[in-house]
Amino acid sequence: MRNLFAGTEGSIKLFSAIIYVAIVATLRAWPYLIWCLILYFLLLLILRFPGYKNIRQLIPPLLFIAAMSAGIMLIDLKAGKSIDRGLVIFLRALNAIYVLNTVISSMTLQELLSSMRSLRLPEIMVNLVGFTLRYSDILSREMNRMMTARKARGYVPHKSMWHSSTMKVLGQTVGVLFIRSYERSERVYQAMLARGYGGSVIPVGGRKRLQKMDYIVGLSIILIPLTLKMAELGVLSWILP
Amino acid sequence: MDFAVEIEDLAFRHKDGTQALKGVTLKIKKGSRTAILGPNGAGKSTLLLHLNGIYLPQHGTVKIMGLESNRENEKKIRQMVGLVFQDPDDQVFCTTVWEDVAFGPVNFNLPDDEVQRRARQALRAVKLEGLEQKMPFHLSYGQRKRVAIAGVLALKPAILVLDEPHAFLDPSGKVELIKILNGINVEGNTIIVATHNVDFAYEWADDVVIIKDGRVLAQGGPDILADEKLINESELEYPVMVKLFRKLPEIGYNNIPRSVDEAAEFIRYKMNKLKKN
Ligand SMILES: Nc1ncnc2c1ncn2[C@@H]1O[C@H](COP(=O)(O)OP(=O)(O)O)[C@@H](O)[C@H]1O
Ligand SMILES: [Mg+2]
Repeated sequence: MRNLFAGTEGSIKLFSAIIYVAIVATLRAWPYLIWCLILYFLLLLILRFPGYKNIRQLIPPLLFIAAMSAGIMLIDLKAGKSIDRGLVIFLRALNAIYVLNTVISSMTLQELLSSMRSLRLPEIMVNLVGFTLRYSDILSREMNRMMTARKARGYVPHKSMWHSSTMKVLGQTVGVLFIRSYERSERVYQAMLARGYGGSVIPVGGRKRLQKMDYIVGLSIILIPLTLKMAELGVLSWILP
Repeated sequence: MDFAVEIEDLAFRHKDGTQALKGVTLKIKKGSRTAILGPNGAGKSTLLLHLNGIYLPQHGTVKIMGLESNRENEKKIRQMVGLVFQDPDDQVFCTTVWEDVAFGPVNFNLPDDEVQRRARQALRAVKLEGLEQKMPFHLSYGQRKRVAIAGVLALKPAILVLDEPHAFLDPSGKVELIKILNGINVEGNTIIVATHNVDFAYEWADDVVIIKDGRVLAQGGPDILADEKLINESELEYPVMVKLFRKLPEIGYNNIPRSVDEAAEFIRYKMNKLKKN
């Protein structure tokens, strides 16, 4: 069946996602944040986007944030306060990362870049995102290659990171890694130029005509945190009997 | 005579000071299959990057289809010349095969249906239909190489340039490659291949350029690869066919066969002649 989420026009999705993140950043109670996540996940399901597939990609950034939140929780606990503050920070970040990740992964690279451009995001940011996405893979693959080559020549890392020979090899690895990645990224850039890529040649964005469905999806994404924000502010109790 | 490429006294120094080209002069005919042969470090890759305006001449001139390569024309030249890089991992970077093959046509602002058609044609030419939605990084090396070729074919360049297309290909990959190249050449395109594979050059090319240390040593038909002095000077080796037939002068031949098929034909012909006598 057609994936309605991926089919939605890119700049609308991206715009809604940014608003979503902005509103979520103001939510103060953790149950509301959890509700946001649940509702967003359900929205994805309704739009036939397999949102659970993105969960694995969230792990690396979430580990950082979890460590940070845990730190805050510990400090609060020691001060005799509740752990709510750390939890809220963690859940806000989780919301932001999950929403942006699903939106970005539902687009092609070209779509993402032209969406960013049509939202008038600064050119430097567009290029930054474009190149990060292109090159992030390069760094990790150069690393793997070097590690394999090193192992093949019998190198066994010492148990302790701080052992001097381990540190020396590690330092050299990082140094060479950067040079190699730099040289490779230069070649990658040349290869992109060879196929007509150029700062001034922008892939025509918004080739797709906007349709009612695009607006509905965009609005639904924004409505999730907006409703919960209103609930938090007590607006709903004025409206609802 | 119409030329696809005319290079006049081209010199180029890399940022770190390496003088990679020291006055290259050569002409490549339209519609030809040209092999640029030379040992590692001869300057082949540096030369190829000049053919589509990635490097602009520091000294001398480069003309593509009569158009001089400079900052103003670089965009036009890139549309005429498709360059396939040696390492597909330098070139293939999109998340799906389809997106990568469409990358070039989208950059040149072709309409959507044309982009689709070209990507489909290019994937058919390299026999990768059905893998459109695969992640390129999950494909084999030979398949990634074909994705790289398709990404350039989709631009329908008048001149197709490949940098060491044989590197790391397995035997069947090499056979496939020749088929793909022959398929393109039928359409009248000029194909330029940089390589140090003398067997390929001897069998496939109709024009051979030998370069070493940033200079052109010789240019001519594939038979220049049977020239003893030239082969020694260029640090290349004889093609297998040349090696074999040089050991058999008693067979009597004017031209050394260029492929196994040609050689078999030739030997059969000689044997039949013997039988008759
Ligand atoms: N990006 C670069 N920076 C500095 N030197 C380079 C670079 N690329 C190639 N060279 C040098 O230029 C010379 C020619 O290299 P290259 O054109 O890659 O030769 P080939 O492709 O024939 O092996 C070599 O000496 C090489 O070390
Ligand atoms: Mg090279």
